[in-house]
Amino acid sequence: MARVAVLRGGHSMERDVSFVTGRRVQHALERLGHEVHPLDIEEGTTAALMELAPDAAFVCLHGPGGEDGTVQALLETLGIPYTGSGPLSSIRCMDKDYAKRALRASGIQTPPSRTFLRRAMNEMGASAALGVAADSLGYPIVVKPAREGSSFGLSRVEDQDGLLDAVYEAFGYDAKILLEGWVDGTEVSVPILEPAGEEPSVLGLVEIRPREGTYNFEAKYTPGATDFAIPAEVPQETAVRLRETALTAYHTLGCSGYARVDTIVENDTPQVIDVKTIPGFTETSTFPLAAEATGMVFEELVETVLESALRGGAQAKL
Amino acid sequence: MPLVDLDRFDFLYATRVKGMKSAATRDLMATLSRPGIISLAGGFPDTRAFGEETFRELSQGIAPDAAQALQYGPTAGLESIKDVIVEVMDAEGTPARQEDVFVTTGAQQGLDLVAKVFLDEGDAVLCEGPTYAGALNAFAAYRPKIAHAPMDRAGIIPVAARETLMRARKQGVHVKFIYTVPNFQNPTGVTMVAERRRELLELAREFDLIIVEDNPYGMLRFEGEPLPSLAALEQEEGDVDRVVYLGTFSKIFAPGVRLGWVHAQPGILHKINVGKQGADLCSSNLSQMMISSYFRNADWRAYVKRLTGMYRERRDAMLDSLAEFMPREVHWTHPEGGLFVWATLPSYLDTTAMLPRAIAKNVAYVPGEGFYAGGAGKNHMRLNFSFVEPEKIRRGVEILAETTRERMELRSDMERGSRRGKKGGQRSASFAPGAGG
Repeated sequence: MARVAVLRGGHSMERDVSFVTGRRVQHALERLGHEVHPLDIEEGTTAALMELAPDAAFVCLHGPGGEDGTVQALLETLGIPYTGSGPLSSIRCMDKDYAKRALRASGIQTPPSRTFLRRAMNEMGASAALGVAADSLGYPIVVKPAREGSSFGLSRVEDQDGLLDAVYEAFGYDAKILLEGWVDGTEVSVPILEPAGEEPSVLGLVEIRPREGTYNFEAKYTPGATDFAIPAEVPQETAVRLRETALTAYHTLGCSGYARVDTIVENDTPQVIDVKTIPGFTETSTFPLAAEATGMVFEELVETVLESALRGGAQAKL
Repeated sequence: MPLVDLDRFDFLYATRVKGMKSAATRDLMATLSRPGIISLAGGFPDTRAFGEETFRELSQGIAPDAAQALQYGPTAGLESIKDVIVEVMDAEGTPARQEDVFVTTGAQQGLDLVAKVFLDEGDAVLCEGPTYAGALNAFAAYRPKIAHAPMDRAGIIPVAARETLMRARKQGVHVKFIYTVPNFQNPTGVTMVAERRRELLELAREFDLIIVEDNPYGMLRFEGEPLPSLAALEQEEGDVDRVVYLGTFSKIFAPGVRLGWVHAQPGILHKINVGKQGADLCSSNLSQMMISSYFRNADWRAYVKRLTGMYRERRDAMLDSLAEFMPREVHWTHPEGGLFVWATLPSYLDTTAMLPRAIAKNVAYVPGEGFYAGGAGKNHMRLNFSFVEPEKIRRGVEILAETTRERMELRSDMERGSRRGKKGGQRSASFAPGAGG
């Protein structure tokens, strides 16, 4: 039995989802017989953690502030083992600009993109380059904040007319945004689990089929708005490639414990869109669903993630 | 195919529920529970003002009648509470008869019941633009068309309302009623001037429509003279006829008791009675007895006065800080009462897109588009002052002003940059004309 602090809530747009994930993890840990202490992110959090001195922290925070290395660096300083990836890996995955650069350098396919910063708009008139950037990618494109989880501030732009408005909206969520080439194909999510003392392995391939339109924030967390096919209905060869790509991405970005690699398969080639170091663990989240499909019940999944934190000790992750 | 069925009864849901989506705004609003946030987004009265001692006395006072308080009651409400309602309406200047009063579970239920009684799918409702979002929600279940008639600082514009009604008639759309919040409207805080109240009543007569007069805030007047309700104006010239008046204890007592009322002519009340039987049989006896006891034995007018004093101070804090901090391109309403100020930003700003920035800085408001059925109102925001202490209002408005300024600057930076791009002979992007940013 371990004393575990479950960190959930936080300040990001995904606060509510974090509570759902947190509650579910908390109940699972309790059923497993652990001593559980749920904590939110607020002024007294550090003091509470120092006083509590838990054996581990189970981090159920999503989005900026919780998934971007902020909490991880602090936990490392406090010498508290924690679930999931380390500070550098966290920020690399949270910031899609960093992630894509690292992935490309390792030969992993990810849609072409152009980066714009708020500061460059302000100090260098960078919006003069928006049209050129979009043209070089070719319409349609996706405009999105670089460091926002879920689909907040994301829009698909068909032509030049909608570009500036989409950019303006994305800047509402972050001071850094991406213009990204549109990829058409099957959406496949690849959950990866790294049990203590073992190599990371793919839990299964989850195909996401939104009932209508795109898979947005609402579809992601509304039961019935999305269908999942487990395993994904892709040719055997593609499945092999998906597993390889996802594991390479996991290693390249320096992830620990677990992560979810989101891809779109275009012409049998998986394109990595996003890597989540703290994927949702809600009833409708792909990660636990994939685990269940392999016969791993939720408690077992939670225990495995916790165990990898506990056994790893407080040694620095990437 | 091994599909994971997350909601296996999806094929059984009613079409009207399938169509109901949680707005993106509401997902953003979910972040409001975060610690330290200054929320100008709520619509809450400050129930902290009521006090534990008064509440205890009140509970003790009705304890001897416990058996009745815990029992079912008549669908239309207890006689004792109807007497109180007549007294309250009288204090607001609206003559009322006990037999024309029908008790509901909050005025919100009144909205649902009126819609249930009058609306078939495809019928239309004429609303102010913007209008109370909760009314749009209540109506939505009956799938009506919503027509907005614009407002100015004197309330709904009768000429525009008339045009809308004419257009609907031409198109063969059956408008069933006009919905209005005449006093300190939600969301604008605007009060309809007396002249327009008469014109609106006249318009309803001309087109033979019902007027649903929703008056939750009428008693919360900080300054100026009270104006006659549409229900009162109608009765100046005869019996209660086409005005269906909705009242509530939520703002003069407390929303937790969930108690409101409908005042209307017997024919309409009969239909509403049938509707309520199906909905919840009756409103809570416990709540009704609590309120009756309080209004009979305590000085409820003094309590309302205390509330208005407090809200007035908070409104002043909000208006003062808006004037001090907001860029000059922003303007706002000056409510004489109620709970809300409505701010208008430059037309290219989208308050929904701006909300995450504000929330990141720990301030929240309600973006304007939720108060229109068709997605207009993007450059507006509703600011609540009743639930937040003056110092916090000041800090909140200061942050909002900062956020607004940042968004305005980004916009002009982007426009400037794009123009330069064009000069350089490049294909360059520009903002969509008239679109929100």
